[in-house]
Amino acid sequence: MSRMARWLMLSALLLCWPVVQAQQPPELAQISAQLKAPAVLRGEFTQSKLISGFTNPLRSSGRFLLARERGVLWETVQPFPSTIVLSQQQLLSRSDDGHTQVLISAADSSATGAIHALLMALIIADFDQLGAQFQIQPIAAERGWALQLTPTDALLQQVFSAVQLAGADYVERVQLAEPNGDQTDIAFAQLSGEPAQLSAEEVALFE
Amino acid sequence: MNERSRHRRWQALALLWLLAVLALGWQQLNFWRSPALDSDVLALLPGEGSDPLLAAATERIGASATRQVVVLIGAADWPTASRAALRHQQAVKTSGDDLQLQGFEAQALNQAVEYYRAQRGALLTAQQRQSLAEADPERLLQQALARLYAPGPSSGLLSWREDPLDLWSSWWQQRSGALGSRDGLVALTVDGRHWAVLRYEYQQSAFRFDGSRHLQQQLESAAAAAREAAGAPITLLQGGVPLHAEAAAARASWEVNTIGLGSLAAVVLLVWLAFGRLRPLLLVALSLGIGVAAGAAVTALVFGQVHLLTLVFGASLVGVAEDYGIHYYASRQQSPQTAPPAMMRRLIPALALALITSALAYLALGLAPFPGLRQMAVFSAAGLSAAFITVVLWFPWLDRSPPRERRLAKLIAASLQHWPRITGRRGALLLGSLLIISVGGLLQLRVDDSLRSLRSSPAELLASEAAIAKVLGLPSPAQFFLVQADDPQELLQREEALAEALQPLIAGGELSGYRAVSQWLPSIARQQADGALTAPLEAQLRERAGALLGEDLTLPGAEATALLPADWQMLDIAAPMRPLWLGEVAGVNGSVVMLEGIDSQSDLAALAAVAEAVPGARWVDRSAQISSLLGHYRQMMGALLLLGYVAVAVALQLRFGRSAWRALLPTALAGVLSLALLGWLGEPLQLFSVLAQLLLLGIGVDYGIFLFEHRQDPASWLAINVGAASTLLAFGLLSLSATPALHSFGLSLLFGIALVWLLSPCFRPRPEPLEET
Repeated sequence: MSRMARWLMLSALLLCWPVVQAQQPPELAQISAQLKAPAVLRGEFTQSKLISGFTNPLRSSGRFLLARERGVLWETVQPFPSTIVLSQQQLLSRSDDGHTQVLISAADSSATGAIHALLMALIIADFDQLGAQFQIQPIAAERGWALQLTPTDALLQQVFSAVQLAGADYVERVQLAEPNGDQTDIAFAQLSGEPAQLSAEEVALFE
Repeated sequence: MNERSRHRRWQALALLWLLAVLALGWQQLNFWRSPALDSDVLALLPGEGSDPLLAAATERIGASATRQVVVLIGAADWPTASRAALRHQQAVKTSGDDLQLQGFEAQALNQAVEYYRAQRGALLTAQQRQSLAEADPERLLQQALARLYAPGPSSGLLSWREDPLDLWSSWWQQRSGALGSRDGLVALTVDGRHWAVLRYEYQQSAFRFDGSRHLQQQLESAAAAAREAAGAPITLLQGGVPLHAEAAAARASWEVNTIGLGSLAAVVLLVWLAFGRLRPLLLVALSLGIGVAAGAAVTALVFGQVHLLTLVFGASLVGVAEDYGIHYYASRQQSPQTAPPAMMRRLIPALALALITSALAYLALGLAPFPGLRQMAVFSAAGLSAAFITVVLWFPWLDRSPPRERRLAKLIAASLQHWPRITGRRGALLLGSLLIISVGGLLQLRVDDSLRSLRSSPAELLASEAAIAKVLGLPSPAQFFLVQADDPQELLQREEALAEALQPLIAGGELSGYRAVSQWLPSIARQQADGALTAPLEAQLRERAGALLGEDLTLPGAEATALLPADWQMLDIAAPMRPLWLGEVAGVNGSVVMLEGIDSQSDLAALAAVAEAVPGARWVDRSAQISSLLGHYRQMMGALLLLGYVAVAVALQLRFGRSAWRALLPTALAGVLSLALLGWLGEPLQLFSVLAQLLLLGIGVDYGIFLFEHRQDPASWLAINVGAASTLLAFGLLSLSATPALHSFGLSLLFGIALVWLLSPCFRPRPEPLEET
């Protein structure tokens, strides 16, 4: 199947995301119990991407903020300052001068938008959501826990070949492998549930 | 000697007619084995003969959907909808080959992607075109870099390098709409409800005319299986032309049987009560059978196929064509001593006159250029003639003994002399009150010329289809734009201009969208303009991003070749759009632009105004056209009716002199009163009620003529009573039809005939013979 076909199919797939209260296997229940689930999660990230057509990995770092009710603020500091606001509705970039550009809107049921919504579930390890689309297997971890997520749906397999999550109290590392060879490796640090309230400034960024 | 040779000739003709009837029987056996029946309402209406482009558009749009059956299964969550839909597919598959599933074809998409890929940069959405034209290159760079560094995948449909702004995903997205695919099903989500779309193609071309609904049953059992598999409440919607056609065939079959057999039973009963022997009963039934068969056969021969409504209408002929046989037997009963051939010879002038007037009244229906009405006219005229010929040629030889004396027959025959006459003050009082009733009813009479009057589709099917159209955002088949130009490229450009002119209406919510070939195949001019917009911007982006990141991101320039209609039409995914591309018709290139989300509240005048502003574009509102056509012929037939009254009045004047009004007034009164009754009942006036008036004139005047010609003749009065009773019943049964037009026709004649029957004897002349003029 062409990339096109899977893209179109995926948009429907992800937008039709079922809310299934799947029975969690004991390992996951244990991890869920260990995971802290603050309403607002803050931290720093370093990301490395391998993209076809590029010789070198694209490295970036910055801060992020995840508000369960609103979405994710992804603030890249290096190498180019930019802010990406990621919500169920859209993915938009916000430049220093306050100019915003909608990159993807769920209104046109874009597949890419739905994939980014899935990212939020990965960062907080929402097994209820992930369990519906992935087969989740514990794997060996140096400390804490690590999981291998294999897409069960044939269509999702066309976008992600494998996903790995690792962490302890929080998810500390997300690795995405795409069938086209692209890879994304995100590491989180300085994770904290404090301050638990969004500042007025932060709320404004989501608006 | 002279008598004998005449009889011999008569018998030879009777034998000849026997051969004709045998041939007719054979033709009918063959015809009903696989009946060529037409159930399409539009087939009843005149085509767009004078406008080949519009004719092509209507034909294409109609033909594209004739075999499609769509089933939508909706549920609160996708797994439920999916389970139900998969079970539905399976149930349909195991129940036979009548319905073939039309699957989601990934192969077709691959083919299309390959086709478009070379011209990717020349394909922009309207929004992209605008934002790129205004874009600050610096911002575009930031946007492309943001995508590159965003968490998650950086590539869209194509790699970042090929399509750094991910323009192509949106282009495809806009074209595929909300439809996607899941579990091998076409899926979409509307207002939080998850729908699976199943498309089937009906493989049969005709329906059995036995009242059965195989397709409906098949879908119902599949629906039951789907509901069971779902395990949770689901919404199941189904629609498609084959479902309408089958429902129409089943309904028509029921109506034909009810009207035909009901009238036959009534005629048989009346003949038995009046004449009391088996032979008259069988002979009258035989003449009716031959009449109806001849009507069907001649219609099939002349038109190639017979419309369902013609059959329903034709079934009412049973109640009209019995007159000849009944008149013959009534006369025989009255003078049993006269030999059958002699009796028949005496009756032939009156019977022939009755045939001619009735046949002319029916043929007048065919004056309007409506194929449906012409079929009904031909059916009726042929049927009446065959019944007449059967009576005239066969009855004298098959009739062995005169009918019995019957008390009932005597009572009816004798009733005439006690019938009140309208005279003096009592008459004036009666006429005055009739006048008040008439005016009161006529004032309430409203006109309805909509196409609805010819449709009889079940309400639930229509509701289900409306719901499907809403969920899927289907375009209206009856209202569209017709665009024409000298060559295909100019045509595409005109479509693009039209699309631009529609934007304000879409933004204002009048429309939800449109469907046009130019959405999938922009004009070369637009391809070049869009390509010239994106290519330098993207090249610059790659260069600058490459410099920033220390990469070589430039792409080798590819030779762009324009996308052309001829190639595009070969694509499998073009199939749903192909009917819109009319190609070259009568020297011009034409296409259709269909509209989504129009309903009865839409501002059609605004749409018509849009067409006026775009060269080569034309607003077509089929519903309005058909209504005005039906209205036009309603008025024309109304004028013809008045003309008919004048002509009949002149003819009666010549025959009966100053008393002619006695024969005509009952029919005129009955006509006005029956219209007034429609008004009182809230039944609308439409073409078919006017046609009924024409037929009423044809039939009603006969009663007056008979009462005049055979003054105080009990046999004639008996024949009128038996004939009127069965005619009344036939049209009464026709008024039960689910098709509003036939219902209205039947009802008008039910009232009209009943009133003529009651009124005619009130105006009969005095028993003493009038002076001949």
